[in-house]
Amino acid sequence: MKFAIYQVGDSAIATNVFARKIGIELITLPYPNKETISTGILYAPEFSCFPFKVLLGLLMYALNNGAEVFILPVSKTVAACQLADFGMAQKYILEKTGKKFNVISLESISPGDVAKKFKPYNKDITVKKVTEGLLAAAQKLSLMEELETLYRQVYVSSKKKKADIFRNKWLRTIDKTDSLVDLYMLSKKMHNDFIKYPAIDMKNILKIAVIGDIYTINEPFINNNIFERLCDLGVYSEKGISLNAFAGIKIGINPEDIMLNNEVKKYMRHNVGAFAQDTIKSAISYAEKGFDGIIHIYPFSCMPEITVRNILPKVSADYDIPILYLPIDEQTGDAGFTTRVEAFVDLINIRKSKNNFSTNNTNSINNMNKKDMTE
Amino acid sequence: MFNSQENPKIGIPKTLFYYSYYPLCYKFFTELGAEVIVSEKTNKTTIEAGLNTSSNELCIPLKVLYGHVLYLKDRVDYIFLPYVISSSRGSYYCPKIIGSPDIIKANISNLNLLSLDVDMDNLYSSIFSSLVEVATKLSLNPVKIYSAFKEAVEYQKKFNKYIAQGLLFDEALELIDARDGKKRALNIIKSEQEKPLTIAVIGHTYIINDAYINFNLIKKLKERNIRVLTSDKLTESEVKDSIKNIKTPHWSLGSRVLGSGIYYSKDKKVDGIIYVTPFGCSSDALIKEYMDANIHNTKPVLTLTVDEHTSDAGMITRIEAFLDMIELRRDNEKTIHKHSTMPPKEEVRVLDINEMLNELSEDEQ
Repeated sequence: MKFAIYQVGDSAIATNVFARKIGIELITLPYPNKETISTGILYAPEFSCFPFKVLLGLLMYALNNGAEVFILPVSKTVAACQLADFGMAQKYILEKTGKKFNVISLESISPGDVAKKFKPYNKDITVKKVTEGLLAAAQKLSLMEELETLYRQVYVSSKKKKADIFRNKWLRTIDKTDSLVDLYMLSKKMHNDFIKYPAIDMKNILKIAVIGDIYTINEPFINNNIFERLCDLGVYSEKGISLNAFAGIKIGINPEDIMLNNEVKKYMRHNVGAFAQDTIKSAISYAEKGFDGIIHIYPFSCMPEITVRNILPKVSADYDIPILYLPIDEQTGDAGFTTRVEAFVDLINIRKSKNNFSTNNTNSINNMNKKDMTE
Repeated sequence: MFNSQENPKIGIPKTLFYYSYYPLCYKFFTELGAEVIVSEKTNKTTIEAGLNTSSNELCIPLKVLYGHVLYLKDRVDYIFLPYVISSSRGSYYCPKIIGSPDIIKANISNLNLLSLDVDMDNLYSSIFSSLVEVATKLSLNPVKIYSAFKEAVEYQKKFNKYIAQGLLFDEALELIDARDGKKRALNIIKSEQEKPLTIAVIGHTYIINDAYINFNLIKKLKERNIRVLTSDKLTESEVKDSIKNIKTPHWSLGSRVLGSGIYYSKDKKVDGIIYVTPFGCSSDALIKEYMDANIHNTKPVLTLTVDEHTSDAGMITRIEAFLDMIELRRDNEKTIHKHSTMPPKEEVRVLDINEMLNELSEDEQ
């Protein structure tokens, strides 16, 4: 019996380890491409958000390739946005094809619940196995996130070829390592390897943060490879939110966070849905960290992020940081996208050099203090 | 400190929650001694003012909200814009609506907003604590709040009764203070029931009740001697009842649309359903999928997507075509066989085809 689950970027590495640990077989999905996206668009309602269409296309591919059980999220608490309705709506659409399949609706990812849901398909599943699988998957996700940040730095310092070698090597290692203990050791090994590459000059390099909807910024095939594009332009970039957020991993409470949360509440009193407050929070924190610009990416008709998009101009004005808004849908052209990103990078480059020039002349001491604070 | 000499003027924008909770707000503030001012009906200037200040990705109801707030800005002391998060356990309003006060605050400067949290899902937040907050901000007597709120709830209940009987928003608002309201309501309903066609108009309350956004849809239907039922007519329990067998959608406005869709599709008196949805509403897009799967083609459904670019002529054409189709369908049902919602049995279908073939051959001869 073959199972199918959503895939975002390289998340298959994480879901596969979970499947192996609990003893089920997951279908291998391709990265979203023209074909899967156009099938998604064909079946999806016109105004459903872009992630819905792309993921539906992938599920259609799975259905045509023999998937019998679909694992769909019906979460009400973790990410309260359209995602809560994804599962049911996609089930209705898949049923129209006339093929027979089962659906496991995942309401939460607490091991007990998950074990109960999978029990009918595999009798050997225990809560312990599920816990192990979930932990390994979460650990792999955070390792991949770390790798991604290191990869971007290598890309800027030693160009694409070397960076790709570095990334592929470690992705393979992460994929192969299944034992939890080994996984916890991997991070250090990865960093040791990373040190061998030349470091980038963090003081003078242009820094841009990419924030926005969790799916769009984590799926390189949907966001037109925004991170690689920024690396090509010699920009150091950071990601506002990673897939880990779904696992709800939050380590400790730091006082900085509480201060930030209070600041965020001035702009958005309640979390309107999904990670809307987190987007504003990351915008503020990147502004305070001294980033030169922010790119806000969101799918057209994404409700939480459009709310954020209407509040961000105020944040931009208050914190004096330029923000580029990039709505994405199936009509987004490659060239138009690149032009806008390039123009934005050019503009903030000029802005940065002007700022440096003027502040160097007038009150350099003051500026030095500021720089020290931000770094 | 309490009861300042001049009564504060409170402005309520005529959009979003105006159409569901206006009586409550009106009674509450007037009981406390404030003056309530409502913005104009949505018109061209409202929409243009909204378009000039808002970003273009917003849906039409939010763009309209900008216009209403701008209208009220210089006319009142406070603009009442609550954070309405959830109206019952486990269901939420759409993100843009929850965040609407934040959006307005971020884009229109120098506003005196009066906001309170309505969060029925959160057990720890009580509506009274936020009401007290409001009263102290207005320097009104917080002791009065309890009685004022009780009065307001009674008033809203009375209003809801009229709506549940099948009256439209404007009609109910007119009758609520009238002494012979009940009698007049009965008269209206009686005359409505005699009309030959019944159409259910479903959608978010601020779309179906705002004549400018939906291009006078309800008036257009009434002019054609049609009885109009709206999704507002259903009580909360009726909505819950009709969607109890399916996994309910996340959004409470969505559940109401879906619930009323299913409810009216089973109602034998209803001849057709018109579903009005704003352009770019992704929650409605998925609700449509739910609806298709659960209505099972029992009733003709017309989906109308509205935004600021929709033209009046286009709407009329589509509505007329839909009504013609319904009339044809009804006449066919009368002449051939009387099946209203049940699909014809196999025997009948065979007969039908034979009859049609006979007719065709007769024509040819």
